[in-house]
Amino acid sequence: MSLNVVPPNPGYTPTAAGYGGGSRHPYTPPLSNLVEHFQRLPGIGPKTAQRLAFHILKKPRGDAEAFANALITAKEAIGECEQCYNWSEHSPCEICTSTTRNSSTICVVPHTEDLYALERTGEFTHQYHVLHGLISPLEGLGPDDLRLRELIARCEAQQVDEVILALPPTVEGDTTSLYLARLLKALEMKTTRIAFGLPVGGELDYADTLTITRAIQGRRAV
Amino acid sequence: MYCEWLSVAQFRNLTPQQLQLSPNKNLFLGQNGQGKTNILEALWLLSRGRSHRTRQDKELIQFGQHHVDVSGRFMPEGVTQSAGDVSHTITYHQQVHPDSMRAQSRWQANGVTVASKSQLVGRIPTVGFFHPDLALLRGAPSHRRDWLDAAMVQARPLLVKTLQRYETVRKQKTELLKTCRFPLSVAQKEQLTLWNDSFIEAAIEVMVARVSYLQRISSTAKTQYGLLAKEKERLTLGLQWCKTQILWCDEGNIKDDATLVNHLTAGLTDALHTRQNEEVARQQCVVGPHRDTLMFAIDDQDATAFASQGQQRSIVLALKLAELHYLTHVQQTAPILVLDDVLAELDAQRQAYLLTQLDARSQVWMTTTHVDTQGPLSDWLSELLACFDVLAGTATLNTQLAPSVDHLSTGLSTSLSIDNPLLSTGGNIR
Repeated sequence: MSLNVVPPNPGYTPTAAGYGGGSRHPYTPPLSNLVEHFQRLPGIGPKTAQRLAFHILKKPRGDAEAFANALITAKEAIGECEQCYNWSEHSPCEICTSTTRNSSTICVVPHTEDLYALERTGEFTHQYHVLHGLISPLEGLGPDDLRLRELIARCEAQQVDEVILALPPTVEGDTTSLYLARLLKALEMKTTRIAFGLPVGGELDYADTLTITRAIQGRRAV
Repeated sequence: MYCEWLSVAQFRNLTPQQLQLSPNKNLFLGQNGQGKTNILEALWLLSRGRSHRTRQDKELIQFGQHHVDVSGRFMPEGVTQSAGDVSHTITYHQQVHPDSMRAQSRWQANGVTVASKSQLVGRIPTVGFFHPDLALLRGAPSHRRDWLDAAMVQARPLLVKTLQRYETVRKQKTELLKTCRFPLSVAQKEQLTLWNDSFIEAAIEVMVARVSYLQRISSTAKTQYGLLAKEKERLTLGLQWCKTQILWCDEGNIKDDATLVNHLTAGLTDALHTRQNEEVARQQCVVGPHRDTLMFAIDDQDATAFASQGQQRSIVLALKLAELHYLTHVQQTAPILVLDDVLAELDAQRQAYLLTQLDARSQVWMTTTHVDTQGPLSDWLSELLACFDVLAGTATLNTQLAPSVDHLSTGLSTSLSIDNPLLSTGGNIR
């Protein structure tokens, strides 16, 4: 907003973190390394990276070791479930092996985050299938880069009655749904897609026009 | 809807100023290069979210400056009090970082930041008649397509999403085509089929929207043209699609929605199939609404190829008036009419016709280099108006040409105005 922008100074750099972007931090090398690693994480800018790095330095050695171990352990222990491709310590994962779950319904989600969003409801006992993305040539993702064939193979191998496509109403989500719907239709599988419309408890007045339009299009008899 | 005041700072060659406008007629008088069109451009920007002249927003900033501010307050017609609850205040701020030359724009409507400028569409209905519009028929097909899209979006703002969706699908498909090489593998063929299906779905929505808009304005355009052309000529509007096909939108040819969708789907599917190899070879989408355009026929002859200069002007005029009438009808408010130096290009008969057709409720913004003492324009100007002399980027009220607006003159600030919230904060909107 302000026009008072500090011009880049190639020589002496004061203590402020990360201005001008790039990798040239004014810190001592190990600290610079740490800040850069934080900064590579999604959603973390130079200021936050600096704050996290200084926080680590201030804490006892044990905390840093615990943190480092947590990173390594998570990376080593967690992998994709061989059945649903959810991130898990076990393969097949807890959800796939659960005896209280209904293995005849599979809910297809694009990312693991979406699986947890559905799980938080505590309402469903179906199994999942994580695609790890949506078909999007702009991101270099084709059907073979996703866990689509694996879903089809699973549907053939396992006794499945219904596949619920919990994919977002975007161009990529719609195209992926279309693709899956065709493959599943060939298997004569009942395939449904989640509804789009108003958030529950939301006021019509506050919804955007496109959401209202989709909600009207997707209306049902009461 | 009318603009009560318009305020600019660091905008093109204009000096910082706030103009108090007449709710009826506003005339901007001045020599070439003084900034008349820039004033209209500032209004256009607030209404449409983009300039009518450039897609490069940076060009709007005055030479040597790094930010630009434009704001304006709009009122429903008939409301004269500055009532806060019915007025729309739109502000635009653009800042360019002096080193990186990165530009950042911010839009606000009634003090609330607007996430995307597409949300502004339709708030302030406007109809513009600019100099390049006269070449609409002979100009690039993209010009006619852009006009059609902008006009239909004003009437149905939700179509912005339809156009954006199509654009996304087209980008995805283009990206896919870039990865394809002959001979196509099975997987590539499968992916092309998949994206073609998504493409058709999005494309049909755009095409149906265009056809239905043309059908709605078609009869008005025809009537207007009939009145303009003394001979009994018949104007027909049509959509050219899939390169060679034309769907004429006159009364005898109107299909119901399902038939229309089936017809377009079949044609597009066929075209995509037959030209698939060309698409792969050129690595771009060669068929689709992004290549479609608006067509005109006079008595079943292609007007883009055969119309005379006079006929072309009458067609453009009829089209603009049809746009104006339809927008007034759907928005239930008279749009602001922007006429940029086009009168000079029209003969006396067409000038008189245009001026008589203007809705008395519409606020008019008109630029011209001179007003003849006799003629349709001077007759039209004899009624209530505000006339501004534009000289070196400053608009000052000309009281001689507009003696009838004494009641306005107290509120008409001429140059720097201190009650403008934009200027008192040094040009920054916070």
